[in-house]
Amino acid sequence: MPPCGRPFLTYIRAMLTPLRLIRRSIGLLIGLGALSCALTLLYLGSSAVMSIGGSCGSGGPYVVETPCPTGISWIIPVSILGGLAALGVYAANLLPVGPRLVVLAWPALFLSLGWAFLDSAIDPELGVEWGFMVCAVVFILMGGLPLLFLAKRDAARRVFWGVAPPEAAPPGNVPRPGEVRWITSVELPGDRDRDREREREQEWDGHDHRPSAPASAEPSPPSGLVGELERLAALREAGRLDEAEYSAAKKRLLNG
Amino acid sequence: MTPMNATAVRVLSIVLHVVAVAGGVYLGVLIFHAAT
Repeated sequence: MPPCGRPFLTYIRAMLTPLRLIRRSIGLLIGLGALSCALTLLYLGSSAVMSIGGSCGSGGPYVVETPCPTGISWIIPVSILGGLAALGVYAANLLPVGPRLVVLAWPALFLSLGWAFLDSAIDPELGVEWGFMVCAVVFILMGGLPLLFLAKRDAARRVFWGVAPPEAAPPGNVPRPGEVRWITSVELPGDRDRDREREREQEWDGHDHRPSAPASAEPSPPSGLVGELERLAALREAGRLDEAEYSAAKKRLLNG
Repeated sequence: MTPMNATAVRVLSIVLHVVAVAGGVYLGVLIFHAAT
């Protein structure tokens, strides 16, 4: 997913050098191709097993009642493990934009197997095979119910079309409608002394560009309790504190 | 580095998905019939 608050095109440009694009495209092609191949093999292999009754065996020291069709003994395990690996390759090589079908792997698996069960459950000559029918219903529900989330337009768009570009930040530092901003400042012990020292150094170096004023016109800030009370009064007069806030702050100061 | 166009990448991604799914299914059918 593109990071929040970063312009989309900048993200695309930073993310995809031509070499990365080629590498990811190849990975996507191999991953999704192998995943589709594995699901197809699993569907066909399962259908073949269901067509001979739903169970079979091959190898081992025992006499097998229903031998598996040729190739099925490796097709099914390889398609399951290979499909999982292919899903990982596909997910790792998704492009920043475009379809993202990873979430559809589960429905694809269960709906295809559910369809295979349903196909085997209904026989024109023998009627309905209820064992297969129950499996078909369970598998189709397991695969179909998660697809309901695609009813949401945003979700469907995200899966089939890709991630929508994030809204560009408004130019400058202008608050959006309804946005509330506040500024807080914390004064640490020694900050005031450090500021005073810096001012004094500037004056001594002769680089003080502030308008010159007589020393008596610039009284040093009062310190201690009286200074804090004066500061509070000044804030109230300036309208930055209302009466209630002023009273509460004054009370806090006086109570220590 | 040539800047990538988002639309071009999206179109490429869609084409790759279609080709991969179609090719994968076709390959699966071929492998199944060759193996059984």
